[in-house]
Amino acid sequence: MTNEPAATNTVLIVEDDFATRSRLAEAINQSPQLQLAAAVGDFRSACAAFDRLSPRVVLADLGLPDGSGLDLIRKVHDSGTGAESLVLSVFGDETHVVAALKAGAKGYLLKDSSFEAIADNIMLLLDGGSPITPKVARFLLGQFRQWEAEMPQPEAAISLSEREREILGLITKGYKRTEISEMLAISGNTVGTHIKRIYEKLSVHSNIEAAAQAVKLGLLNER
Amino acid sequence: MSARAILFLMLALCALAGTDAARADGPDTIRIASGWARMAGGDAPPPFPDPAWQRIQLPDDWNDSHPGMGGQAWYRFDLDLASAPAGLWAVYLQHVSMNAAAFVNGRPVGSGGRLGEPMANNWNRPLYFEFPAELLHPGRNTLDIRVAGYANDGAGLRPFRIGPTEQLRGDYRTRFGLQITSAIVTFTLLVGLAVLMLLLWLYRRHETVYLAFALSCMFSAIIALYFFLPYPPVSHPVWTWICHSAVGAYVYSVMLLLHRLVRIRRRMLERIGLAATVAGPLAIALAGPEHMVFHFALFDIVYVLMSIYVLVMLARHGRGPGGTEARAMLAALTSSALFGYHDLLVLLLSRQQNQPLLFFWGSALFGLAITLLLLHRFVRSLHEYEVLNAELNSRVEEKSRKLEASYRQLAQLEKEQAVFGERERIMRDLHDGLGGYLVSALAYTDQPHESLQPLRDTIRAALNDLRLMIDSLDDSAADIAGLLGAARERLESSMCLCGAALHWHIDNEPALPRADASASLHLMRMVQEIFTNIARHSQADEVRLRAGRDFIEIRDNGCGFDPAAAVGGRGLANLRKRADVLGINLEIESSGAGTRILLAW
Repeated sequence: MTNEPAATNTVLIVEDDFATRSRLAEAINQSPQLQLAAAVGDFRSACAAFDRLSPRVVLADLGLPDGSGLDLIRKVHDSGTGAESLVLSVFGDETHVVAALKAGAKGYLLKDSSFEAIADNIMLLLDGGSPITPKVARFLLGQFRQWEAEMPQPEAAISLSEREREILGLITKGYKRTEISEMLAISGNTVGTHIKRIYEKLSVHSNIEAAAQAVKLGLLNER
Repeated sequence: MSARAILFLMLALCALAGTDAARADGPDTIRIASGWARMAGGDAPPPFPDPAWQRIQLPDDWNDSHPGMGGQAWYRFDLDLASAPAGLWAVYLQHVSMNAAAFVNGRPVGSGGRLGEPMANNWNRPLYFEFPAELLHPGRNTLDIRVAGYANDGAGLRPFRIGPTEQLRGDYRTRFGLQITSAIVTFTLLVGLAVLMLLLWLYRRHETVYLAFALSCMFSAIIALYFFLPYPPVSHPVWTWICHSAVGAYVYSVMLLLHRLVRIRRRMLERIGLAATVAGPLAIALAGPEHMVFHFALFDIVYVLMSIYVLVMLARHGRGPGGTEARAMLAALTSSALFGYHDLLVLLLSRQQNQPLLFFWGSALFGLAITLLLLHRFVRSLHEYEVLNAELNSRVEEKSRKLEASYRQLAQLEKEQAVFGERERIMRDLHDGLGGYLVSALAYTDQPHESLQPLRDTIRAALNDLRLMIDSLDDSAADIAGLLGAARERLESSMCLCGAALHWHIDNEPALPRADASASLHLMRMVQEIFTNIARHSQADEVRLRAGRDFIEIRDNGCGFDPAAAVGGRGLANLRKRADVLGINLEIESSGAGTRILLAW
């Protein structure tokens, strides 16, 4: 329980369903590389635990009894502690996952994943990759295509590169990270980095959108 | 347009025309009624005295005094004056046929135009020649009148006057206005109306009322021309024939016009009228120029009858409640007819009764009345058109409103239908998938001593099916590559559980020919079913999925089965049923070395 590297890979679980929470905690406990910081069931305890324990990874459910998981994800993202978050989802559908990604989550975790998959995904995150579903990939392709069509001049910071588009396309068809790295003759890590960058672009774009919305509503002065 | 006003106007005109005899002469005006006459030509008076001169009393009507004779005649009158007159004097010939020139003490003082053939037609034109009074002297003066006329044409001279211009000029001007100026005005008016009506008719051929009116205007214009045109374009007999034929044609066209105005059809009568109008003048032409005017006057009895018929017809129509128009026409036509009867009587009895002919007055009145009537009708139809148009507009508006409403209703119904259809589909899919799994999971819980594994498998299957359903609800459910991609992780995890590796290969974007959520869900359930079967029965350690534009192929290297013998397998029967529903081909090849299942469309 006290392996040298494992001590840093602390995980905070925020999930209001007791059974699911226990199962996730069990999965973390069984992984030799991960350590459970705490498992809580509401927003307030989650904030307190995050501040007190400074975990590396937060697994956040969106529907909490006393608050929104999105707020928690935003808090983790903005904390500056280097902590990262994954959203817990039943279906991995774009509605839930993309909202979380926009708030700053680095990926998602299916609640019914096997213990192995749970640990793998968290480790993938810690290794600099980002979990992604085919459906989310397809949604992102469409979302960026729409943004780029609206943009007068494509900006690298918020538009997809050819490679990123290619990777998203393959993910959409169900190909896995390793398969993609083989097909494109790049390392598996590079694929993960690409995906992480795509998420960042999504987040940047969301911030731009939010700012534009704020200007429109008169919350900010233009320049 | 009041009938009374028209009748009043007509009576006033008659009165005016008949005032001549009653008008008192001025004190210095001398009425000439007796003298000498002889038939002779020449530009200067023939020698006098001479046995050829005969004592005459005016009026001298050649029809009586020189029957069958035409040409020129000289008349000489003595004029005894007590003192020398001063200023301007005038010879005023109220009625002479056809033309005359005057000489005072042998000096010519004026003429009404040519006296030789073709002579000026002045039978309706009062002649008035002014001269300086110095030509006269105290004592006996001579006055010569040279007259030109046609045989049997009412030629001759009537009593006339000589005197200071101020005592004669007024009377002359009134007569000239009544007999000549008014004829010219009438002619102009009728020609204008004829042209207008003809144009109207050209635009609206089916409304023959305009043609009939144009014809009546044209014929009466010719008649008006006869009253004032001094030099007709054709010889005198032909001109006389044309103008008198026009009278009949006029009455006939008025009948046609009125038939159309009151909207009755009398085909037979119109044909008889046409025959008479053509045949009568032809017969008169064949009879020769002699007594032509008299022949025409006799033949005009036919038109008197025709006009009486028209008047009676109008009177009958005017009796009804909507007979205002007919009554107005009756009044206008009565005046016209009375003028005509008057002229006819004059022609039949004699033209030398100091009675001017009034026919064109009647036709002018009638033309005006009909014009007003048509204008009235036109304005009324404009009003009706506007009212109808407004009504039509409002009806069109109402119709389009209704149409819009029913269209909205239809769209709403369609939407409801679509929502209902989708709801029904989801319920069916839930029932077929999730419902079945939950029932079977519940059944497992009734056997507490059993292993938990089947329960776990069933719940996982239920969850997977729910995911498939949710994927199929996606807006791009027709994207089978996406659906396969989304399902891979689940398929893979089921393979992992039984220790088989999944090889994944998607070539082109597969797309179903019938691209809807229901079809996609069916296809994905088939794929799910195949994988479930592989996991349960095949004992394979390698599974390959390959998809292309129109197929999905799944192979395993398991123990295989006999597709024909495996009738008891619920899974296989389900696959076949779904393939039938989708209308796609399901091929199953199985041997000891493995199984290949191909879904192709």
